[in-house]
Amino acid sequence: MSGPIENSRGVRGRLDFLSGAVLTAASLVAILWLIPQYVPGEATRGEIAPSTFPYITALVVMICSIALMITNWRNFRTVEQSGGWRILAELAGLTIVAGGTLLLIGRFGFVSAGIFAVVCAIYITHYRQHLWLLALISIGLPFLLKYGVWQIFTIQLP
Amino acid sequence: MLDQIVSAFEAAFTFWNLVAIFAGIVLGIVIGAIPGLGSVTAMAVLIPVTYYMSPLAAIAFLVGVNKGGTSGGAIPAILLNSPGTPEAAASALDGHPMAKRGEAKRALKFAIFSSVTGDMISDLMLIVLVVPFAAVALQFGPLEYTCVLLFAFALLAGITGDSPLKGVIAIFAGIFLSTIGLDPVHSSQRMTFGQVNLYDGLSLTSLAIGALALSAVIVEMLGLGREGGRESFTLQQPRAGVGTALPLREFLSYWRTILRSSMIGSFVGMLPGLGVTLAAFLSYGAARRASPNGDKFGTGEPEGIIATEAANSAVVGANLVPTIALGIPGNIAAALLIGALVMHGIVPGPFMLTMHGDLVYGLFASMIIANVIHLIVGRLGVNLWVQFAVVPRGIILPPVVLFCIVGVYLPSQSLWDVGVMLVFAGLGVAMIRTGFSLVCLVIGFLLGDLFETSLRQTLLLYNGKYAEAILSPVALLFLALTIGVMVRAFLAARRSAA
Repeated sequence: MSGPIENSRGVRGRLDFLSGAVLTAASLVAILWLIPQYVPGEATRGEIAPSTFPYITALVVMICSIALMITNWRNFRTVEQSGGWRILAELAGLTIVAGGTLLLIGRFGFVSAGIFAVVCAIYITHYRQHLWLLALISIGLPFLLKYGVWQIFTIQLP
Repeated sequence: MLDQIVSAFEAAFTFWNLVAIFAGIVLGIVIGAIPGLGSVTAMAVLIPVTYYMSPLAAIAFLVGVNKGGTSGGAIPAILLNSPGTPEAAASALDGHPMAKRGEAKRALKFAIFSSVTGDMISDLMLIVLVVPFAAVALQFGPLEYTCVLLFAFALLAGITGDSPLKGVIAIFAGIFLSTIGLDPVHSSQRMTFGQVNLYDGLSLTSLAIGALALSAVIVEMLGLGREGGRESFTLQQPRAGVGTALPLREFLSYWRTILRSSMIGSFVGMLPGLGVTLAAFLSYGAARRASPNGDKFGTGEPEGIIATEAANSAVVGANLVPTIALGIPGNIAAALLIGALVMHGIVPGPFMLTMHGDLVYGLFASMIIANVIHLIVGRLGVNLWVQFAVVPRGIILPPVVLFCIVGVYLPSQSLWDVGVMLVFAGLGVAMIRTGFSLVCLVIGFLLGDLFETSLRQTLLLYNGKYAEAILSPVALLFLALTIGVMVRAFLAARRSAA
């Protein structure tokens, strides 16, 4: 499901070009730094080196990403808007919510993190009817889940 | 054979197995009926719960969720003209006009009867075909396996999403992610950054729930937020006494459409990579061409609902043929089933029939029983399912975030996995927005290990003498098919871009 801006062909092409550029950069990072640094490159006893397969897959991603850029080059030059910034803004917002949720689980436990996550989700939906029910869900559900998980699975949520 | 069938039904007819099937179908219908969710989301969120069940009950439960979820998607499609899943879109074409005429209940009955019939035919095909398929697969060496996997990847990339290039990128990105952890041959660390949590690689549950379920829910929430939190559909209430009856004889008078659609669904389900949506639309098109009332399709013709529902439900059983025989999932639901099997220590593939024959035949029996339960539950609960379809998404979607967190935490009790899930939810949102297929990513990740092992074995086996590979006709056939599928997909993408 895409947003309304990303649906036109030219705009989609520009977005494809930008995605291709990001993926090319990411695969280059994998080929030039990540794999040589964090995967042993030497083969033993006539075996194939552990780094061979990661190199092959990263190389395929890089070649296809470059091809994606080439096939959408025209759209990149002619279309001005792609919705790319909106996607980045959404992702930045989601990162903050996700980071906050993880931090709260680690520091204060599941209930506070659960309330935070549900309140953020309610804010994102802009749904403002049945507010009493939403308040009940955001506060009651984390408690209910913590209690239910303990009763059913005998697992203590953090 | 008769002994096996009897003992399979004995194993499946236990109290807890029946409870698992019943619960799976009810949860599947309920979650499938909620616009914005669907059977894949339901399965992804519920997989961790199966960790606490016996293997047979776990798989029967998930098959029930898949069956219920697939037919549940028709409820919002018919009543609200708001298909919860892409495959239910074709059901809305004729289902919603019927509902507008006041025949909502009749349309829902057509949907559930067709769904169960299509499911049953496909399950019987599975039972008949899986043994010969597995027998053939047992003859495959690493080279043949590599070529079959390449063919599956080509089908996936060629069909899913708007560009085969993006499909290939998503698959290989998934395969790359599967290389994180200990190397399958040397056990040397690959991209673990010294983190003990990464020694076993990324958890499939975290990846699947994050990328498939949570990201879809977030995108739905963002979409709802963009609409100002307002629902844009109106319910066509079933009217008492108006067009509610559906005699069995009337339903069976469409036997040609039922049979044709079930066959289309089963065939599509057996090919790796092709999804439920394709089956639904292929079947709808075929029924429209074959029917004398073809010109009435789209105006409330029951044959349209039958064609769609029989076909998309027939995929459910048939996609287990490549899953059990080859260990290659027919679609994303089958991929999640493989994940659940692996969680219970069972490796899908040709050896599953010999090593876990009891479980496989028990699963077949459970699937037949599930169809009967599905028919009863679906038929009796029509009025109830309608209520779930009209619950505002603003109330349903936020709590799903919590279920995802709990679902990931349960099996491993690790906050690391929750973090991985949140990362993949973000990646999933970015992929949905930019038109990259999440199905390709998850299936690539799931099959990455198998692909690497067979490719490495092939390279070692032939050790530079690659001309000898020509001696394998099976490998050559699948290689030719792979090239054919990719060339066709690129030509089609070029035509549509022109």
